[in-house]
Amino acid sequence: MNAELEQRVAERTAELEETNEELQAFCYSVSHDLRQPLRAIDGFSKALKEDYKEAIDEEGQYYLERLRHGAQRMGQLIEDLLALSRTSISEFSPVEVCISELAERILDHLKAEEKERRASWIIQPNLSILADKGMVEILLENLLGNAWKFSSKESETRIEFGYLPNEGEGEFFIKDNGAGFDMKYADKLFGVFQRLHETEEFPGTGIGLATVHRIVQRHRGSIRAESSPGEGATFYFTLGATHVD
Amino acid sequence: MPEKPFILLIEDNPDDEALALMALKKCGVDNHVEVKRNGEEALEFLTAHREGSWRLPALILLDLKIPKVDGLELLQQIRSSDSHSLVPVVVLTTSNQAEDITRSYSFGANSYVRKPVSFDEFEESVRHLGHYWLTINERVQQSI
Repeated sequence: MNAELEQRVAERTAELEETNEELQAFCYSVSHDLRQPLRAIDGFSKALKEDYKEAIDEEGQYYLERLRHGAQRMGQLIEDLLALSRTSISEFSPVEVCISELAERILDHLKAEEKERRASWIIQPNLSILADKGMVEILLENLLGNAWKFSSKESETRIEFGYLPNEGEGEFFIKDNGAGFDMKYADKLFGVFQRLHETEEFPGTGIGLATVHRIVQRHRGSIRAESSPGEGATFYFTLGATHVD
Repeated sequence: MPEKPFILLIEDNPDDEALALMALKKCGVDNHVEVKRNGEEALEFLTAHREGSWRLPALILLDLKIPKVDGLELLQQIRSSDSHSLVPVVVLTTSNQAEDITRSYSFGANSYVRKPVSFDEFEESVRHLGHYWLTINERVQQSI
């Protein structure tokens, strides 16, 4: 009986490993082969725009610009989808991560990209967790990136990151003073391709929070959000075996 | 007056070849670019140059995903050869997977340029790297 069970487990494991390898090969192929034609569309549109400037009127120039915009957007979609699938199939190796330092670095980077923006943040120091470092980095990049993006229209961006030692399992939180969202759409937040704002208003592919959700799931944690329109948003998350110094 | 150094581009996709040539031209690199479509052709070309004691390329731009002998294999062969192991190799690829980058460097690549969807980004990378390696190589060749 035991031997039979072990045999079945071994078979299942082998099948899963094979599926995983196939998925990895699929992702690799997508990242190479789907992007190539987009590169051609973008590059040759630019060549037309610049090298045939005199022959193409203003309307034609505008169409070429739309072509480039479309190709670049699809490139971004592919990139984000790949990041999402990688978080599902990549190996999970937990180490101690200083999440406060990581958050500081990501915000410094965002500010460096947009020096003229008025922004301030408060980060609770010395918060450490046991987690997959690469994944936590992607999670924070997405959540802090969103806080940064959705507060871009405020006179000053304010972001807060910290830890709430609730009863039972404590939660990390990321709070911003941005556009926020209506809680009646909260169930759509973490779905793939779900967006609560127009692309023209706040650009994005609608894959970031799905990736965050997947990362939280892989850590056996949870995530939720609180917000109301115009009042900013707060995301609360746990990462399973969290411990705080 | 020494012959102007040339670049060897190993790229199987004609669109990507045209884009790379366009990027080099827009960056003001007017050196001759010899194009080979796969690893085997590239090896034959390099070997013929060695045997004929012709000049070696000043820079190799190498796509990783090429038919027959793939990019990393070719890179290993270039690095283990007596005659062309010192030619700078810049890996060009669509991949941004960490393992591709690490492996390229561990196999002896000098730099790594990701081929992004946006031509502007690509042009910018080529501008920095192309000029850098051509200048370095020209100085090395002059000092020998």
